[in-house]
Amino acid sequence: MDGTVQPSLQASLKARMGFLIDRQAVLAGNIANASTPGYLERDISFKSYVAGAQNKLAMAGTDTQHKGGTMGGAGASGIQSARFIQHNGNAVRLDEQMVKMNQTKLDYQMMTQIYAKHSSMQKLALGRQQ
Amino acid sequence: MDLMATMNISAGGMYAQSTRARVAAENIANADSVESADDAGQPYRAKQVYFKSYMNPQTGTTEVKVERIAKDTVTPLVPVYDPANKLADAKGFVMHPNVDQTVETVNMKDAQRAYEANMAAYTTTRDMASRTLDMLR
Repeated sequence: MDGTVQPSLQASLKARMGFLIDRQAVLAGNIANASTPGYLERDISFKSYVAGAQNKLAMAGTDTQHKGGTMGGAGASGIQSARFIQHNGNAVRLDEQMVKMNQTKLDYQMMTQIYAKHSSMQKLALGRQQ
Repeated sequence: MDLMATMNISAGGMYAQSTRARVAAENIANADSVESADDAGQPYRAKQVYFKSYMNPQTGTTEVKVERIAKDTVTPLVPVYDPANKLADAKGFVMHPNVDQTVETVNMKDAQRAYEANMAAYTTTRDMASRTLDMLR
């Protein structure tokens, strides 16, 4: 195992978990707007998230009271879908959102377990028993 | 965006849906109120909740809020023949509220389902947050 493997695993986990947290927020927004007229469901893809993270621009602050922020992140790359549109113009299907949310949760659990596995392997390499 | 902001979205959704259930309950309770205090003796008019999605400028997330609660002035009042009533007009009709029991029942049920969905979303987010804390162990 060479030295480049470990930092890249950390970076991958960080990217994936960041994406899953953002996606969870988008899905929660969809569910919260399940009866808002004219609301179309949104989703983000990992591809656009990673691309967005690379192109993120920091907002310029010209005053000490300005809050820092970034533009061009996950929110900007949201996909609006208009399948299964209801009579009030709403296009959120709760069952679909629940499935997506469970996928997100399981993915997130996998990431935390990979992290735990990885750190236990590192501890083993250092000679400390669990 | 973080998980706490996500929990706030779900909490906002629950608040909006409970407002809707509350208004439906008000309508059902006042289904026979032929006089209302805020309308100067006019029959009660059904109220309706208007939801609106909005972008939280601090977190960049899409949340929901109750835009307004408006009276239904479009649906006509229901005339009921009751000549003995002191509120009856010259032809003996008393105007009853324009509350549709079926619509209110469906509204109530739909609000309950949406509330449960928000609750499930909240639980999922909370699980994810507790998994994150488990990483420290």
